[in-house]
Amino acid sequence: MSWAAHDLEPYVIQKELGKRVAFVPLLIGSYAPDLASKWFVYGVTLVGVELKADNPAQFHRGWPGFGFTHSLTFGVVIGLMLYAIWRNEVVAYSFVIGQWAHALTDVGDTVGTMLLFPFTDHLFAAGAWAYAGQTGRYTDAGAYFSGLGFAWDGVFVVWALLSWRVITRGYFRTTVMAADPFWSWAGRYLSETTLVALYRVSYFYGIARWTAWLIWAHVVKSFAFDLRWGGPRWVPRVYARELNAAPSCRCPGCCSMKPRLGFYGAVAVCAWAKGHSGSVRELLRAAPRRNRARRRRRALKKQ
Amino acid sequence: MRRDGSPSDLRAGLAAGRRELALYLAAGVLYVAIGVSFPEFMFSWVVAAAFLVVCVVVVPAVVRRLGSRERA
Repeated sequence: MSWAAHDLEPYVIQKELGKRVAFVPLLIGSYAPDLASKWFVYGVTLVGVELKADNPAQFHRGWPGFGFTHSLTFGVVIGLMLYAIWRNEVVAYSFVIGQWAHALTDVGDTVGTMLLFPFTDHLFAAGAWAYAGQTGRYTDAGAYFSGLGFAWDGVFVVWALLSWRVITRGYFRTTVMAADPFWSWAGRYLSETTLVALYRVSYFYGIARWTAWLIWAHVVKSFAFDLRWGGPRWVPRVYARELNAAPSCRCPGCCSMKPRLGFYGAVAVCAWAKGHSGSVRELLRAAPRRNRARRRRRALKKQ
Repeated sequence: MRRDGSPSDLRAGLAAGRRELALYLAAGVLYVAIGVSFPEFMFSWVVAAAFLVVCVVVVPAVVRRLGSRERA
């Protein structure tokens, strides 16, 4: 899981895609996978009764559980539903982009996400930082901001700062409002200053929260930094192999993760891309001519 | 000004909204201070949104109104 990346991804994407995306569905998409499940992972106490998943990691990322919200298909299904309701393809695919960004970012921890669900319940995990949601939110925060997770979020903080143009008022007026119907609707009730503040909330939240959690974890508390792959090792971690039926899965998605098949797949994709790219084809056609010219020059030198 | 509505460079951007930037920075520093003291405060996006709107919209509006009333 990521703590600030999901807040900042939409701004980075907005910077890259400009008027081609609608910001609000992009942001909702970026939060969507955790919206319905995160509270139950950490647990809440209501009228003296504690509500918490028996197996938080399984509930959050696995199947059976709410792990399907972190699959690419979930984004497409909700995107299609949004399209059916609003008949606006920009709103639909903006949600899909946001949700995919979330699902792909969460691949970084030791549990990973079921990207190809329902075709397989395999959890794709890079294992760079520890998944420790089952330990409660404070220990999870301390662990996340002591391992590579905070560095990953730091990448998004820097990227978001470099994308500062997207949070300017002029950009909001010219690009964000033009592409997203939400803002013109909200503009009927709220002033532009309020709209701009609301547009900037996640940017503010992501950067301020990242800073505050870092200070809390290492100044107020004394969680030890452990920047090793899969760290910090001092926290009880959950691994993808402990959930679902991953080891016995024989689907093409899982099999392609095997190095040889993955390599062949990558070669096939490169070959296909080269064949379909006009510029590359021209380059390939030009290459023998260049060689011929080189050979001619060498022959002339010899003479 | 660029075609997407953003300023041509960072200096121009800062010059255009210096007061606004100061407000947001102050809100950020306050948020971090409260968050470090009471981490529970940082778990909710809704709380952050309300906090930001109060800091950069409501408080300046109230101060402006009080200022104009005093002048009158």
